[in-house]
Amino acid sequence: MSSRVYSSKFSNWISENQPKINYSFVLIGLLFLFIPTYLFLFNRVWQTESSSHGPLVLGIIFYLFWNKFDAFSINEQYQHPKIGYLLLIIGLFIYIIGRSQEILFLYVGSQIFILIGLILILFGGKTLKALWFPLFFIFFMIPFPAFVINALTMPMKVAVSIVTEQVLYLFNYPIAREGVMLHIGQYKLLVADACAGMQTLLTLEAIGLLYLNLVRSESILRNIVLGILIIPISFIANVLRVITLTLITYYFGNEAGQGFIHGFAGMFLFTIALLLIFSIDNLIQFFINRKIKSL
Amino acid sequence: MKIFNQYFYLMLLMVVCSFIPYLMQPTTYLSDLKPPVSLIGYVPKEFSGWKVLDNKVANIVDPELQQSLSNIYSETLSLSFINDKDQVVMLSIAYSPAQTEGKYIHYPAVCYPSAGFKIESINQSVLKTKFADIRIKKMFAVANARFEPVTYWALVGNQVVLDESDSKLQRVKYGLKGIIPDAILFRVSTLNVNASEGFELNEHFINDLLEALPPDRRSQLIGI
Repeated sequence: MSSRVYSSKFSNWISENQPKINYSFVLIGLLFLFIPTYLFLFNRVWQTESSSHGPLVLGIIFYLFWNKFDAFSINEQYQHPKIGYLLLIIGLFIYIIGRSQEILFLYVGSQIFILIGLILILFGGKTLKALWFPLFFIFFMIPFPAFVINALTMPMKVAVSIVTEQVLYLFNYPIAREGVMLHIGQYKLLVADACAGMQTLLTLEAIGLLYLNLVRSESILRNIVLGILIIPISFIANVLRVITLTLITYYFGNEAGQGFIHGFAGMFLFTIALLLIFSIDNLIQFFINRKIKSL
Repeated sequence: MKIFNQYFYLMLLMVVCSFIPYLMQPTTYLSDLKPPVSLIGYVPKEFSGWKVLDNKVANIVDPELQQSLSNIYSETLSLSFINDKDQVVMLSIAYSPAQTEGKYIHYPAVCYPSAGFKIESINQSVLKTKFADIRIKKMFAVANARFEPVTYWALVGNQVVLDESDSKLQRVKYGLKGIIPDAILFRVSTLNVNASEGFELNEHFINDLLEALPPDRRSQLIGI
């Protein structure tokens, strides 16, 4: 007799809390899949300078999902289990291969397939559309394969070195360049991989796109133009950083150039780049508004 | 109003999938399956007219680079050889017992530019030796007044590889069999303004060296 009372209390509790229980199940599944992923990223990958933008992007993604939480309450008529399950299974397969064979690109990238698949199975197309930005943002967190990074970093390093040399030469400094080695005065400076600005570029793009998303910029033109302009802005900021550090070494010696000024200069120029991005955005808005007014 | 609904089964699917990689992860180290590799005395000090050159010029290496290199390689060998025509080649062999994240071998095509060299040309080629045809990379690197034709190849397990995607592929092939492979980087270079002359000298040296090595070390280096 008493066991029936208990079991009916239990089944009442279940009915009342069904949605929460359901979502907890999914959450538990996701935690099992991705906590190992993020532990791996934190301990092995994000410790290096070449991937230091990782935690920042992760934080932004959490924020974006939290911001858009009401997307999960959209009234959906249809779910899309066929496509959803297909993507989910593909994602899980990529996850298994990537994780067991330590192929980071697959391992971390599988998240996108898995999440999209789950959203299509459990929610629907409208929800997916509403969440496109946080999902797209996951791209910024995926570590690219080493050879892709190398292929991009090398030309960036060379470009930065060339511009630095030309600018300083213009101002009559005794500077010469050999590949990515700069000779100024009696000093020799190597433009290292970190100086190429790959990290800066990715971080700035991430922040720039986040900014656009937060201010809910409606104009597609504004989004695209700014997204593209961030690339030269980042490059310029990076060149300024290398020029600054070269001059510091020239005037104050090697110790000064390699010391804490190095990090400080980096942060300073990064901030300037951000401010430049926001100002240019205002400029774009100004021109777009003027165009609209004159029509 | 059920516990065992779609959500539950999705959770089950995900939890199971989170454990499968543990089962598939390679656990056997290839280096445990063969006699330990020691590079001391690996190469004879004198052979076919070549003699080890004892130059006291220390290589100025960036300490940070030194640290990251020692993370990857358990053993390295760096020697210079001179022949009776007073031509000098530099030999470098590095051995990494386990290729896992953070320990992947660095190829000269990446290392040299990072150290300030400019790569004038880099090509893939085949070196025909008495023992096997070896796929090699020929890289002409230049820095300041230093012109260095570099001939190199690497081995992941016993497969010859020439760049990161090559070695990744081999690593995965071993991984799917449950094995974590080791790796060897083999590099010969000389100083010569004339690239083709330099490469020829490198290849000449490699041939002489392979002949002078005992068969087991030879096959270790060329991947048979």
